[in-house]
Amino acid sequence: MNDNEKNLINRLLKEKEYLICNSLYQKTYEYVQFVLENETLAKEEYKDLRTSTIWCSNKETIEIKLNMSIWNDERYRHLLKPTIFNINSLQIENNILLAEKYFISSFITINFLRRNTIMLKQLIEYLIEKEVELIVDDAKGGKKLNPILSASNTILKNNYGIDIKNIVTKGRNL
Amino acid sequence: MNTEEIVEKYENSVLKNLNKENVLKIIEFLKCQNCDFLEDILENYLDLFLVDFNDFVTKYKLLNEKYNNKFLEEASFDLNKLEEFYN
Repeated sequence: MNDNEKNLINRLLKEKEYLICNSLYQKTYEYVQFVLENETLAKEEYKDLRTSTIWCSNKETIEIKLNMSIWNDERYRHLLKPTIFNINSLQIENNILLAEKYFISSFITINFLRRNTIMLKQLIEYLIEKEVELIVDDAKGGKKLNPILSASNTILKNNYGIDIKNIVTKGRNL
Repeated sequence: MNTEEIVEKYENSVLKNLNKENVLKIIEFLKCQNCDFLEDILENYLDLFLVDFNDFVTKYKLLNEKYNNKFLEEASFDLNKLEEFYN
């Protein structure tokens, strides 16, 4: 990108300097303008989505994601985070279906959406088999997703004694 | 999980914009920080490697300060904390 184009983009981002990062200058002026002027992104419930992460996406993806019907469901509004533009729509839908199957929809997190669907299903089935609750109390007197479902494979193994790779392999061989 | 299973979780824009040099630099940086769940990050947070290396290091230092030099440890227990890189 030449200096003139950079200056045009910088002018668009006046008073929005928090959106400036190295990835920005790999995008076109038209895309930056689209992001800043998009009516949906300007709405209160979507305002948190306009971070520098958005420069890694494109107009088509943003429009598809913003129009997903799941955002009409109050259970999933909290999942409207900047990285939602990076996760494939089918991945999101599959993991939401999984959450609904096990009645944990209201408690799922962005990390839940990112995990491999088959791995998650087998981990959930394993926890159910071991009579481990999927939803637990949180520190504020409410409920939350069991932290096991948000932990890394390293923590699963070292802290919970769960060898997820072994569980997945066994599941695939059934 | 095989490579295909990993990449199909992400939008094409993520895969197209990944820069090999940037990815390798971030991986080396995380290894130097004794990250013991790099595989989880590569599988579930591949888009994190879109962040320019210098921005990544800056953000990491801020997060590490926030979490009393235990950001990676906290993130290993709760991978949702990695979302803070994107704020």
